[in-house]
Amino acid sequence: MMISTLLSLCFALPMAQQSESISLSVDRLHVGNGDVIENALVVLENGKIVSVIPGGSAAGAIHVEGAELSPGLVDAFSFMGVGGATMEESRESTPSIRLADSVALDEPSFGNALHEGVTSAYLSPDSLNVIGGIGTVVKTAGGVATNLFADEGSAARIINRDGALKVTLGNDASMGNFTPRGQFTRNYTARRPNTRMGTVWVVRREFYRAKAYQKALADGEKLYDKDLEILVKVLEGEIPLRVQARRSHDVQTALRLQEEFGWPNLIIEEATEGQEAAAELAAAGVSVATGPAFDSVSRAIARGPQASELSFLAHPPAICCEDLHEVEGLHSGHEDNGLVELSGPALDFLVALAPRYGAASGLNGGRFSEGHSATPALPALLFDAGVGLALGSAEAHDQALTESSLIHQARNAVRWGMPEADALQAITSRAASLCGTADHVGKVEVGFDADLVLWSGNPLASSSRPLLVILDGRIAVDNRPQQ
Amino acid sequence: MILSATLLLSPLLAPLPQQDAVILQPDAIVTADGSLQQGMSVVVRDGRIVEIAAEPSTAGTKVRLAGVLAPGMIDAFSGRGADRLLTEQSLKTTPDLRAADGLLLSSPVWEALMARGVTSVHITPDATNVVSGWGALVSTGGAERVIEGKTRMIGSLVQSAVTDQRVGPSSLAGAVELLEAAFANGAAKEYRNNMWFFVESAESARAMKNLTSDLKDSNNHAILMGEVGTFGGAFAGQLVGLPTMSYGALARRAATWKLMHKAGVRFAFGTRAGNREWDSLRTSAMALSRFTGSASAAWASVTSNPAEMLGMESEVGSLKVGARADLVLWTGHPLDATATVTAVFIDGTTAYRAPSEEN
Repeated sequence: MMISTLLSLCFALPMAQQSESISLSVDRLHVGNGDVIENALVVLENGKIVSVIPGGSAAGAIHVEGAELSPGLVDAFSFMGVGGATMEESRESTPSIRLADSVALDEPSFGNALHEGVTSAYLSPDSLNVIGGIGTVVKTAGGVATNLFADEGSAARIINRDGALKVTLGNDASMGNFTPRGQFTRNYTARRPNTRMGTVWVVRREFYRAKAYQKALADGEKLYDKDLEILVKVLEGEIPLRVQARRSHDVQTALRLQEEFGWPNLIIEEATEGQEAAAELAAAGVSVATGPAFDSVSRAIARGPQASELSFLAHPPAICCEDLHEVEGLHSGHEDNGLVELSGPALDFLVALAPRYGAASGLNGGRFSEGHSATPALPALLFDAGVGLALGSAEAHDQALTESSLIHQARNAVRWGMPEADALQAITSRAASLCGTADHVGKVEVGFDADLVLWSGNPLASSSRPLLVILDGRIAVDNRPQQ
Repeated sequence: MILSATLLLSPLLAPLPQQDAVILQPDAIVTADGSLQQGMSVVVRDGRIVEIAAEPSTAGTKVRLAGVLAPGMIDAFSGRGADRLLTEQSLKTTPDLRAADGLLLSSPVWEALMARGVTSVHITPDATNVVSGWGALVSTGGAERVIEGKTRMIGSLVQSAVTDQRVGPSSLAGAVELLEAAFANGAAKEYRNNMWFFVESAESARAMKNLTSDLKDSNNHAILMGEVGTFGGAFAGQLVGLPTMSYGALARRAATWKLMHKAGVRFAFGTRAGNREWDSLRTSAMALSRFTGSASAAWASVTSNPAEMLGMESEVGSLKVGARADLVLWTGHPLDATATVTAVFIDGTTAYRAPSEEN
């Protein structure tokens, strides 16, 4: 009996309950638009939410004491399934390349995200091209698993093929490029751009070509250019434009370009120093999808400690209890262990040599940081300035357990001053707006997709964890305590 | 017994007179489902099979054959017998190349293949370009060697194979883009419905599906490279190419083949990018038979399935009226480990005879 229960928890859940109706009776319901309903009954059928009854309850409904229900989380900006296969580097502008064609939908990262409560996500093309291609929006499960040994429906499923066009400003787009001097080379890394100026020049060149193409089409000329077709759709607002801009001057460059080309639907990605351009962003009405700046050493966009700061750590100023130095025996023993105690200039010398993670590996080998003034308070600062905001995990879910998972991003945002209700919206309904899926994802409302997370408490409390993750009406993760 | 069979074969050693039918009377024939059927005669005239019956109505010279008569095996995709490489890497795509133009017909490989019961080889360009060129179906013996000079266009979505630092592309995405462009601008009109795609991952399988989703009744097929278990689910119910493998490599993936077979996937074995041992077609089929438990699926994987993938099932790959008389006389069932080839008839002519034991 015990064994069969365990088995059913592990394997049998995904497809078995597809057509069944599920009812959840919860103590608190976070709708996803800022509203909270105490005691609610939510009924799911055929993958949709069919009723939400405040104060309701029903026999047979799933109920866990003290648990709270939220919409399935929406990751506004991530790189799940994005690898070398998805990026064409032989040209610096590849707008017609669709991530949906080459993204690895059965990577484990989708499962990691699902277990952290993420049910849908925007997948961004990588940032190595100036105009990188079209990102796509997926559910983190429910797709056709082509791996013969994987659970049925465990792969990610595309729900918005043309999510947004990716443009990269800053270091990433010129990373590894070089100018051949006095030599003939046909290696594709010997291409433009190799500066920030060059990057922006490529953006301008392509969009001026698109404008000319748009005019020629309007004049009745018969033309077809698959790349320019996409850029025209961006100019007309049919496909949103996402510009990855980390330094504050990159953010301002993006806003200048928007003035120049009138992009109707611009979203800034990452905006690591976005707080320094918050007023401009708010005035332009441009939304931001932030990504974690501190999620891991390998991806830290923020700079590492300077030598002076390390030195400060090595020689901490006495802040109290100077009299302790007088205590007999407190510092004794140094002489006995055979080690030479370092202090003064010798320690300074070692500190100067100390390896530092140098920030921003991946950005020209860590020589340039793109977040000198990165701060964990970024979401709160943007929010306070009135900037539309959603949170993204970037590469966080590539690891199984991470402190930068989407829910932790929101918790961190609250910790640094963002109101709880807004932080939750930034990973549900507002994120869905940036993904173009707000009409059926991101809220617990009748007619919306049955993507839900049942948390053991307040979703934004650090002690809460997902008990149930429901995707398209099916229980995908079940961590409920066993009876 | 063997001596008498050799003697009886002698009428076939010279090209047959055009009008005379020959009635071959083996101990048994191998039917389409891989089973043996005794007491059947195969009547051959003008290089074609004209009748298969217990009591044939066609008149002709009767030849008693000791052993089992089977259709010759087909190598679904191969680079053997080519003059050096079948690849042209100065360009991103090379749709105008033909493998038929790069053959080395004097090579000793052809006879070596006949000695292993192979009568047709589908020579394909290397899958090192996104669009690599036309394949050619080549007979291992006989007078007229190239059976079909433009069979299928070989495409490749194997990232490691098609990427090129000098001319691009650099990625699967770039390979997809090149194919999309060729399909959109009409350059691919001739081959779009007749492509074989080398694929190696779930992503490349999906890209192939996206590229061909608007085609109805196309002759497009995939050749599955790499860890098939991680993406084989995308090909349920389809006919796919598979590189031959050593027994060990197949055995390590026994569960994969079982699942693939259960999902209705049918295989056609080829030696390009596969195990290059001379007998690998037959040994791979034998291993498949063991792991799937289906002798008929295994036999089809080296005969009728490659013929079907090529759209030439009425010509080669099975004993049927109207097909080429490309026949192999075995000492036992071809998938029996102890069986060896006694003789090969191609186009109705004896193209190969095993050295007799006396020699």
